[in-house]
Amino acid sequence: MINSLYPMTTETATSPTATSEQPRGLSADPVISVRDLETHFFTDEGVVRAVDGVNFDVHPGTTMGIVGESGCGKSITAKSILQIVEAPGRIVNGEIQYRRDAGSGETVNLLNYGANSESMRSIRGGEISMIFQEPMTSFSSLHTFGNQIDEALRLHTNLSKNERFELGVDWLARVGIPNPTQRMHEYPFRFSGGQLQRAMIAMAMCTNPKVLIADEPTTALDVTTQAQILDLLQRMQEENDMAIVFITHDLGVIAEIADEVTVMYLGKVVESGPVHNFFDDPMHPYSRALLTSIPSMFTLSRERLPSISGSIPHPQNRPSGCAFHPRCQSYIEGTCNIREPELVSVNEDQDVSCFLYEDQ
Amino acid sequence: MTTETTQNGNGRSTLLDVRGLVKYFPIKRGFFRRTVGTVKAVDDVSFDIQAGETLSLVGESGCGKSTTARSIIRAYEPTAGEILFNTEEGDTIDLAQLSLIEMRPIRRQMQMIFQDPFSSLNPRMNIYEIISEPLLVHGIGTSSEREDRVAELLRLVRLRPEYMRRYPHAFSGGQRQRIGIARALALNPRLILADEPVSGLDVSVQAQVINLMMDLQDSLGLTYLFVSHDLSVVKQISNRVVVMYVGRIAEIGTPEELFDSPKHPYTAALMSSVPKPHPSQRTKRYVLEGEVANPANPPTGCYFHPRCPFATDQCKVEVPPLVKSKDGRYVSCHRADEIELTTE
Ligand SMILES: Nc1ncnc2c1ncn2[C@@H]1O[C@H](COP(=O)(O)OP(=O)(O)OP(=O)(O)O)[C@@H](O)[C@H]1O
Ligand SMILES: Nc1ncnc2c1ncn2[C@@H]1O[C@H](COP(=O)(O)OP(=O)(O)OP(=O)(O)O)[C@@H](O)[C@H]1O
Ligand code: SF4
Ligand SMILES: [Mg+2]
Ligand SMILES: [Mg+2]
Repeated sequence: MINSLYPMTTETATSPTATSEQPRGLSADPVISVRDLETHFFTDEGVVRAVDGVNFDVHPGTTMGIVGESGCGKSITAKSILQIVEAPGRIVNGEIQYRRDAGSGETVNLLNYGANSESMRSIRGGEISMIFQEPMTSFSSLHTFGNQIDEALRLHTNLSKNERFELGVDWLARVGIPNPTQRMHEYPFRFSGGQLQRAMIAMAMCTNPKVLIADEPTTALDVTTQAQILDLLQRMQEENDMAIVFITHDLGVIAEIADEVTVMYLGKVVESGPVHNFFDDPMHPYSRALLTSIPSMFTLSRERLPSISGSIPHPQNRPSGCAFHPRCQSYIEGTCNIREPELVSVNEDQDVSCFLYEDQ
Repeated sequence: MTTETTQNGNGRSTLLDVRGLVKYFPIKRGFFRRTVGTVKAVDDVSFDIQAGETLSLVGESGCGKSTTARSIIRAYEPTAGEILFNTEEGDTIDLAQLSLIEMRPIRRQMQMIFQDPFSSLNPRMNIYEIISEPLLVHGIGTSSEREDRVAELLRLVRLRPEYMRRYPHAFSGGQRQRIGIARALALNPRLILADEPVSGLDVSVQAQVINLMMDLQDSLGLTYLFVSHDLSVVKQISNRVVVMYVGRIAEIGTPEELFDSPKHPYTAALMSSVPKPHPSQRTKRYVLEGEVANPANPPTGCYFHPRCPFATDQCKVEVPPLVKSKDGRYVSCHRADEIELTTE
């Protein structure tokens, strides 16, 4: 587990028993380590600290779920990893350590590459792919689906034109789109919402990425289509040992697919740990409040759930001290409103940023 | 549905009885806007709403939930069917037969709440103007009486009356949705049609609005027609749920009946697609094959048959009627009595 007090370097990331054979899952070295990431927006009204010191690790073959409500910085965190943050946003601090090759374990800080550098362009959409809530943002409406997948494959593989077409057809079939050969010649707007989402997954997966960043890929979909997409992602992950960063505000989706969970509030990580710890023993008051206030299939008909008071502050009116303190049930006057808690390990597995656990 | 549902076990009376509601939209193409087809958005839908209950409409995008609600309040002209409303005065009126002018006094008794609290409030009107507008339109009260009423309504939705002169931009999403509710309550309606009222809200404020809606229902005796695609919210707020598929009703039951022992294969598929709330419950995911049928070109027979694992030859040709089963539930499936379904 990570600990922001001890920023991880490449050396400390390697476990003593590591051999050339990479273990799978959480015991393996992380493929991505985000350290002290800060991405700010320099607007006319002032600086918005959209991502304000974010840390987490993503392990090969596993899924890191990032949860948090609207505006807490999930998408900007994801975009920062790929350096696709739009102006006036800028990454102002931090490291994105990426282990390029499982065998040699060479680790690079992606932020040392320029956003438009050759290296970054070869990684983006190749070794690290991204899928979005709005699939149309990944496609151009002016080109057929076949042309767009061809472009991606030309950039990231050495395949011939025919091989690229065959692979495109193959991926459309694998994501469950009927008549794949014909669909290669069609424009994205001819696809239904669920099909577009699947086509986007095909495009993100065709380069065989080591890391897939999925930003709310099912939020706009019906539960039945969501189940299809989650199923698809998990099958692909098993086949390729791919790491997934799955961004959502739906705790049910987290319960279904995540191995680890990172909870964000106003640009910061407030809690992170294995998915079972999060559901059985959430530690941060915000995590606890979320888990009890959102209805689930456990909720009974006409049951009243406790609600969190207040609403999420605007990022420009960030409360002093712990940003959650005005809504917190366990708020300690004189501490929480004045000092800012740090993300620290509270046990072997869980990291929490809250004064309730400060002395541990 | 038949008249036997007019009185149910809870001693409630029927407020609204929708019978055979149909709403088709023409598909127009080309320069002359010729009609080239019809979208069967709502296709023979029947259900009743008991006074004081919450009845929810659920189903996948495009299945006709909003169209049903909008047809009831006559924002859409129903193509066919009866919408029998029992008025405050004790009369039963078929809303589908009324002219829009005749509809106006009924509108006082029925109000709609919308999904998007950001676009449904006029940004140039202050909160007092927004909430008092329906009173003004119906010529109710003097200006000071209206102000008292707005203050009362704000307190009802747990906002401070001092906020009356502020504009919508000064409020958060949850607060704006509460302003929308206050406005809907201004005329003392009996029926509230809420179309995805919490879908646009942050998850941490959804519970505030849901709790408020349940409290107001208890204290004011409101009846809700609640439209949502969020099955967990629906389970929490509803007394009964109508499951729709491609403009038709698959099944009607209590949340517990539908979630724990569905009788229609589509209900079972829908419920088992909902993420399980705890990681220890991860099971092999049941994935419904194929895609939702197109309401402009629906399949023959049971609309669900191309995706249904239980479909027989009969299902391909015969439309299953919505029938009341032995235990008082409504299901439209030829095989409802012989198949075993789970939501695992
Ligand atoms: N172009 C921009 N200019 C100014 N501020 C921005 C811009 N883009 C994002 N932000 C700010 O950055 C913060 C984080 O945004 P982000 O999109 O990461 O949120 P999110 O967690 O993905 O939310 P959602 O669940 O709504 O997608 C927000 O408060 C937003 O106001
Ligand atoms: N004004 C309209 N003109 C033409 N077709 C329409 C119109 N309104 C709705 N439809 C069509 O009718 C069908 C039902 O739409 P409706 O909006 O009622 O669905 P819904 O269940 O509310 O879906 P959602 O969950 O996406 O809100 C859809 O196929 C839709 O495209
Ligand atoms: S009527 Fe037939 S096709 Fe339709 S749900 Fe029942 S078994 Fe399936
Ligand atoms: Mg986002
Ligand atoms: Mg709708």
